[in-house]
Order: sequence, then C-alpha cells, then structure tokens
Amino acid sequence: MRMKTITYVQFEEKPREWGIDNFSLGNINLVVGKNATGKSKILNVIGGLANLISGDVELKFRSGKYNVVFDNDGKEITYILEYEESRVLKEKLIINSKPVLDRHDGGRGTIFAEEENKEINFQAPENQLACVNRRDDVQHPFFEALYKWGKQMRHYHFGSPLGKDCFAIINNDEKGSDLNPKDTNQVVVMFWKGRKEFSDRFVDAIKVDMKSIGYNLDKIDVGRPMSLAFKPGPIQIPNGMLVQESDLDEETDQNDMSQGMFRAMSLLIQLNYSQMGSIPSCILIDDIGEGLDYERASALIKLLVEKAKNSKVQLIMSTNDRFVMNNVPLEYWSVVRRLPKRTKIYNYKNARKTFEEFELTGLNNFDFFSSRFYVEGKDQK
Amino acid sequence: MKKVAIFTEGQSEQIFVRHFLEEKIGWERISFRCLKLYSNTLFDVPFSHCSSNADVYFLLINVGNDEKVLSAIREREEELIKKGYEKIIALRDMYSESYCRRSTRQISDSITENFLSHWRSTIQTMSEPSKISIQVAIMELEAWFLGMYSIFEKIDSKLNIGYIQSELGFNLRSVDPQKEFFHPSDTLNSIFRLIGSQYRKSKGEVENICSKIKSTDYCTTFMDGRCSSFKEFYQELLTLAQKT
Repeated sequence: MRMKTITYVQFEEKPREWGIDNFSLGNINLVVGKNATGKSKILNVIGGLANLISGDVELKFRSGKYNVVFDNDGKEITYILEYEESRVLKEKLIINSKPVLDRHDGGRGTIFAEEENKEINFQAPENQLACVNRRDDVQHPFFEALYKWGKQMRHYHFGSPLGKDCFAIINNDEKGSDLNPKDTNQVVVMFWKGRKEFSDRFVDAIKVDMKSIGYNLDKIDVGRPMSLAFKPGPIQIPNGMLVQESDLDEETDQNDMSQGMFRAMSLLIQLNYSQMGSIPSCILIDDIGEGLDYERASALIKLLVEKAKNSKVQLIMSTNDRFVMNNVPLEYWSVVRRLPKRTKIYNYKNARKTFEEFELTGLNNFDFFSSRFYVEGKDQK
Repeated sequence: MKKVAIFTEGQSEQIFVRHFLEEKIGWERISFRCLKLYSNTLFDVPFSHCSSNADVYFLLINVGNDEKVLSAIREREEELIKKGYEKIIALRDMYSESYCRRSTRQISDSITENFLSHWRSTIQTMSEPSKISIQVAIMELEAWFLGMYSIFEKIDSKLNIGYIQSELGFNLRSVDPQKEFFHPSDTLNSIFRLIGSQYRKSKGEVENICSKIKSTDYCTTFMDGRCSSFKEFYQELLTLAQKT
C-alpha cells in the first residue's frame, strides 16, 4: 500500500496553526528545503500517523487533522482522522468511495460488518482509534491494510546517532523477541537477530551495500567493545557492533567507528532486516546523507533509490545537502517552502511546467533549489 | 596576457580542448592549467603548461557532468572576471538524459534549438553575460571525431572510409555526423570494434584519438561545411587567440 496524498493541519484557526495541503507522493520522494521549513515535520506527520494506526503509539497528542489517500493495489483508501486533546473527534475510512467507518465525537459511529453485510453502530473509547480498537479480521478486514501499512513503516533520523550510543546484553539462547523493529537504536540486537534468522545472506547483503558506498568490510559482527573498559563484576558485559575493514589490521568497534560510517551501517542493517523479514510499506529517512562525504552521500542515495525502484516500498527522504540533491532526479523532488501557518510543496505533480522548464536551463538540481527557481521560474536571477 | 576559462562537461572534452589549443595555436603562444571539479573543490589534473612567450592563458576545468557546466560557471564567473578573465566558455554535449526523454532517441532540430535557447537564457541571468558563451557539440564530442574521419586510418590502416562503410553502412566522408548520429560515442565504439578494440571514453582512448588529429584535420572539418557546432567552437577559440 502506498500513500498517494496527505493533507494535515494541527491547531487549526489558532495562533499555532500549521499544516500541509494535498501533498502528492510518488514511490520515491526527496523532500528538499531550507532549515525550519517543515521537512522533518512532514516526515514526522507521516510517521506519527503510521504509529497511531498500528497501535504502536497511544493517542496523547493535542491536535491533528489528517486526510490521507492510499493506493492499495488499485483500490483507493481514504482515511480521515481528527483529534483534539487526545480525544478522537472524527474518524472515517472510505474504500473506493464506499464508507466503511464513520465515527464522530463521543466515540460513537457506524462500522460495516462483513459477516452481517451491513452497517452496525459501535462506540469506542474516545482516546482510541477505531481502526485499532475495532480491528477484527472477520468482521472488519478492511482495517488490515491500514494496520500493516502503519506496522511496517520505518522512520530513520539519519542525523541522529542511529544506535551508536546503544549497546546490548545478548544471551545466545535468547530469541531476541523483545526487539522492536521500529526502534532505530536497537541495531545491535537487530543485527544479531538478523544473522540468526537469515544466516550469511543477511550479513553478505550488508557487506555488499556497505561496499557500494565505499566501505570495504571483511567482517561484521557483534561483540565486546574493545575500546571501552568495564569493571569486573556480576553484570554481563554489553555487546556492540564490530567490523573488520579490509585495509586495517585490527577490528573496529562501534565506539571507535566514525559517526558517518556507523549511521550508514546502522541504516543498511535495519533496511536489510526489514526487507528480509517482510517488505516494509514505507521508509522515511530524515536528513539523508548527513555527516557523509560527497562520494559516500552520492553512493548511498543511489543505492537507496535503486533499492526502492526494485521493490514495492515507498521511500520518503528529506535533505538540504547539495550532493544528495544533485544525485536525485528532479522527478522525485518535493521542494518545501515555509508560508504563514503552512508548508507549501512544489513537485512534478503540482508544478510540472516549472520542473520541465528548469530541465532546459542546463543547470544542476541544486540550482533549482538554491536559485528558488521552483518559486520564481525562469525569471529568477 | 589574455585569460580564458573553459568549463567542460567531462574529461574527454578537456583533453580535446587541450590538444586543439596545442595544435592550432601552438605551445609557444599559450599557457594552460587543467583542473577537475570534484565535491565542489578544484584539483589539478594532467597537464599544465607554461610558456614564457604566451599571450593567452587558458584555464581548463572539467566539471564532470553535463548539468554542472553552467552551474559551475555561475558559481565562479564573478570571481573569474574579477581576476581578469576576459572570456568564460562552457563546452558540453547536446546529448543528455533530458534530451533523450524529450526526443524518442532521434535528433530533432526543434529540441536542439529549444535547449540552446534556454542555455543561452541561463547565461543571460549571470552577472556579465557578454563575457560568457556556450559551445555545444551536437550530439557529442565524438561527432566531431567522426567528422575528422582520416584519423581512423592513422589509428589502424584497416579503418579506411570504404571498410567502415562496407561494415557499418555509412560513409564518413559524406554524412554530417551531427545530423546522422544520435549517440556518436556508440558509433565510435562500433568503429573500434571492427579492429577488436573499443571506445569507452577512457583517458587513454581519448588521448590516443586526439594525438592523431593534426591541424589539417581541424581545418578540413572546419572548411567542409559539416559539423557546424565544431565550426563555431573553432571560430570562437581562434578569434580569442588572435593577437591584438
């Protein structure tokens, strides 16, 4: 299932109002914008919705109004959600123009029951989403696609340590069942579990990916961090990531790895784990390329685009890095601009002429952004 | 001393310009420095040459990508002009992904004109447009090599016009390569394959071809009315190198 459009507003008609209007998405998306224009916020809005409809996060937010359209193998699914002060005010699910859920303030509403083949009344707790609370594969199977989309969404903040500061106590007889695949800090456990579940093909896939972005690794492993001293005692020594770089004599532990290398490896471990386990629905990567040099940022972005092209996964990334911008074709771009109370989006879907006009200028992609061509068109200086 | 900067889309164009300057203007009269733009930083690449009698200094910058040529000039034009550069020239191919998307892989005069006019408009947005110009190889630099057809026999005596025609079906003496070949580097590769070799735009391959081009080859191509894009390039560089 793929998100086609999203409209969102929070604190509507209040001084803090902010929103995005009808953001159209493709399979591969690069959200481009200056600092503080709303790039990360957009990804957070999408990630936040996924966490709510999968039940991974409770409704503890003050204000939000979503209108989202998905494409589920040709079926159009529209999901509308409004909440204030952690209470659902409106929740609707429409599949190919047929409403199957219509819920209002007070938690009451109607829902289509498949077995009875009719709408029935229901009431759900006001602080819970009906699509979570009423999930029932027999009577309301239409929630499943939504649930899966939310459950399989992955959100990575490339500018964050991505687990570099986190170690893990691992017992080899453990199944690692407490792994939360959405927790991007659990990379050590994820690698350990991935190797156990998918054997060498998992490790080899990560090595191939790392090599394609310029890191030649003979070995990737989990083990005791050699660069850290631990006091002797009853507490078990935590494990971290270890790698053997081809051109070094000694292994490098995660404490000694460069931030850029660890982020890239962490992202690739998590992506490969998601892809081998089940196909992720949507991958959000904020600040992609952050902390990597030109060559590696360019290679990473090419790798991610290729991976997305060859799968059903929807890729949504954000950046303000010129190397990343120059390596992603404009057809995947959405440039964001900050306006009062709104983040305005320019992409091929709503400003095709401007994008095509720019292609003729002979300038590189970064100029489309830096010269504000997306706003001012060919008359820009 | 007159100073001229030439930004090329790739290594092949940079090597070609260097050979052209050496052959047509002569070592004595020029100095040049070759640079490569990588990760927004300029690095020296082979070769640089300094003549004490030079009256023109050429700065040859390979930017590494067709869409970067005008962007790289735009970022540096004010600084270069401040440093006394009289002319900044962009040299790129017409062939590009954008062209392919618009053209169904056939040469189209209207598409070519549309691109040229927009590229010139882009130059008009720069600080001193009169000091900046663009030269475009149609569809690629390799079309110019195909226009200098006598070089193939110098590379391998088997590669004469008749043999190439009998094997590949075109007569290099009569066709206009810039109207005939949509992807000239592929055509060049087909010619090299006739002798069990290949053309992949490597440094060695381009150096080898360029080393076979003599002043008369440039003149013949300039005079015979084919490859008009080469003619424009030839005229502009020779005019710039004229003694004042």
